Amino acid sequence: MFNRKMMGTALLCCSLGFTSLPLLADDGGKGLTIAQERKQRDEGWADSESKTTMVLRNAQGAESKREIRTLSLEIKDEGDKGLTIFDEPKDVRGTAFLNHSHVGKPDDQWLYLPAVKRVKRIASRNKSGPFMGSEFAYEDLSSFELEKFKFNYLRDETMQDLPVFVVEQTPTDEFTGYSKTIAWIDQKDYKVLKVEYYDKKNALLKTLQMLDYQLYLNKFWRPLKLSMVNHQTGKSTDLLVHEIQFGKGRTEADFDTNALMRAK
Amino acid sequence: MQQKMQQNKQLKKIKALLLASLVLPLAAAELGPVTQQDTLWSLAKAARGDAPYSMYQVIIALQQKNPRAFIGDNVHHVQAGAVLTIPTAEEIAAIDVESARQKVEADEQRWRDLQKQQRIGRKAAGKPKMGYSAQATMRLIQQAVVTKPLVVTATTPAQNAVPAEPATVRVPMAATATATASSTASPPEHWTDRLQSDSTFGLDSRWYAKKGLQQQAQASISASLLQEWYWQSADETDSFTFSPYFRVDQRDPERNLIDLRQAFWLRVGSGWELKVGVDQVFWGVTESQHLVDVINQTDLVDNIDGETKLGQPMLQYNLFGDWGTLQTFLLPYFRERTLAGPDGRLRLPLPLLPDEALYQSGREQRHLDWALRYAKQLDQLDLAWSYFQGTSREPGLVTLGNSGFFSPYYPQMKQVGLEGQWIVDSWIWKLESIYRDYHQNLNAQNQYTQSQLGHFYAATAGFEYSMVGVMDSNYDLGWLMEYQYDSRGMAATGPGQRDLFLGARLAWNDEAGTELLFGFAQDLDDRGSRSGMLEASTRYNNNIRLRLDAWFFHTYRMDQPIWWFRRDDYVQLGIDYYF
Repeated sequence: MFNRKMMGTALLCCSLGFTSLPLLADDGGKGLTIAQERKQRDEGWADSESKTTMVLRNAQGAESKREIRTLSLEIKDEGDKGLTIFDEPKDVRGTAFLNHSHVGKPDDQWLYLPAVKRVKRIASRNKSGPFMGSEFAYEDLSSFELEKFKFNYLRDETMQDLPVFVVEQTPTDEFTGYSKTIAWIDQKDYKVLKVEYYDKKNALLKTLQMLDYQLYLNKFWRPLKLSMVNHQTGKSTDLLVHEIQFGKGRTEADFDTNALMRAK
Repeated sequence: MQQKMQQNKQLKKIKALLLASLVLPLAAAELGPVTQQDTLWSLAKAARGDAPYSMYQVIIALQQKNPRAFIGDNVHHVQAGAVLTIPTAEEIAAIDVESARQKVEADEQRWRDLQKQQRIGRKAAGKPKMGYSAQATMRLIQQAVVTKPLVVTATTPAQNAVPAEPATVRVPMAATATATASSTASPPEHWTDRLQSDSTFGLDSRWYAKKGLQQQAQASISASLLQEWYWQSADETDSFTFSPYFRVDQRDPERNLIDLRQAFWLRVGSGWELKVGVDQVFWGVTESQHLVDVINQTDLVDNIDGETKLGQPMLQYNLFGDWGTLQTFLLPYFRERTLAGPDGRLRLPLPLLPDEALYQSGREQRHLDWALRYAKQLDQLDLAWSYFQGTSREPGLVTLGNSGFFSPYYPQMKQVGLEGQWIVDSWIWKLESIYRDYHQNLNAQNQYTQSQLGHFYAATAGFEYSMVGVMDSNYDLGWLMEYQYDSRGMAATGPGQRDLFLGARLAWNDEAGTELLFGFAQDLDDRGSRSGMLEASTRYNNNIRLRLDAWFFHTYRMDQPIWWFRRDDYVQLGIDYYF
């Protein structure tokens, strides 16, 4: 779920929903065109599984780690489905989080609490809160959908010796924690290399860098390292992806509440 | 295109290797000795740590730094037993990514070709003298000698890749103990690789504000151990779970317990699940009490909130699809509720014999209970209906003749349950309701319980409202409000006959996962009767969590169930160690 959603390359192609987009920005529609291309290039990955270590650092540099496993399922014309299983810290091991993301309405979310064997539904209207105490908010990890932003192409730049587009993205959801985000997108493969997040007061809040991109199934670029720095607190979080597998033949039955209860 | 395909192949191979890889300890200056379980990927990963370099760079840097460890100058052929020196960051950075990638891919092709030749050669020769990979090793060595090794950069030590002498000496060893880096030769997975073992040791210390009604002690310590083993088949259709639980208490022998929390086999099919064994099943949506939840017996002495459950033997069959989920249960054996003994707290001041339980059914604990539950999600609305028929999990009390002693009495019952929850933005509206009917043909022995039997309705209804990032902080705050109703009024067996529960849940969202839940229940018919609870916890480190729990009970009325707990206010400090 993460790596995919984070880098934002993973968009579901939406032939629907374009009418609900806000009016084109004054870039002549170039920002939206870039976003559509980004989205279209990540179609067809079907399902994936990954293992990720999160390294949380406070302003003093003290580290703590989380280990998670993630299963993701691509859903055409709807938001994707994701199942995240927590392995560490050990007091939360066995806890599992199921997310059905949607376009144009709040996601459906459930949490499995192993101590009481209970599946609890979560009200998910506001996703600006931190994920597992990290610098990543739930909304940073949710799937990138065209309907969630108004796009504005700013300029071309060069980053890591690659020509990139710089695109400003203004969230359309009032429950977001950001006034805008700015993404640096490589022009050749549409990999997102960097994202800046601006808080509601329009001050720079966080910077995300996506590193160590690998190509999977000859089509899908995935970063193996995602590094988020919070400029206001000095804290940072790295996501280190160890392992991504595609095409395990998962179906929606692997992403319902019955599967959530079985998740280990 | 060709190159992309090769690269893709390479990645597939690496993925296959990952399945069998062992994670080596990070960041020693040296790695090894290399064993058969190590893979190219695991070695490179261990060498890289968190540094932002490409795996190709790391692999080539490893090989350049340790030329003798790689047979035939091939990065895919690592000498078993070798100790690898980890290259420095500068050395890794100096490698050109693209040429490194070409070298790794070319080596893989070379490795595959050799194996292919090997297979053909073996077929032709009929009886191989050496093992399969030994011959491949030989060929690699020969090749390294006669052909020019692939050179990545000018700094590669060219011909010293394999000194002839040690290589020839070591061939038989390498044959059996080479760290295989090819996907075609990855070591077979052992069944224990899919076995998970998790243990939790808990130590709790409880302090009561006053001595008990029968002068029970004010402080007590208890310890517990929960072990869980879980195994899943490779195709993910079958799994086994085995989870015993042990508890010892300093004061109350009735709190000592050996239980099987879980011990079951689960098979998952397409649209169905079958479970045989002992398990715990939770039904319900509300927070302040759990009316509908009826499958498992409550381990009441563990926690007065009733959320701890004993394992229940069952045959469970679930069917699910777009139409919803239907659970069917056969429950062949009954578990008795844990009740505090004379030295324990939170008990009725009666001479109770918890182990001399009486049953309405002549089959006693072997009465076959059964249950059904149908659940359906309609967009933002979740609904579930349930039915249970069998031995009541909730005991009454009966006198044993004229002895003056009391025993728990478990009548037969039928119960219909309804659960609903409706999600509206940050609100979740919740309802649980039951209708319960006890069998009427009571025998003379248990007239005592007659007042509380018959039939009744009960319900819990309310909401949970979540606020994220309150007052520009990272805190999440959830508000809970639930109304509790029981048609039996003061004859109800629980305190919630016409009570209002208010609660708040605060999550710090910090690194320690600090949480606090506070709840308060007020009797609406009797202003002087209320109870409250606090649950707080925080993480000390990756393996330890600290807990603080507290309860208080307040009433002036003897007919309130909590009258008997009025001296049992307590604070409990707990430490859970996970390993």
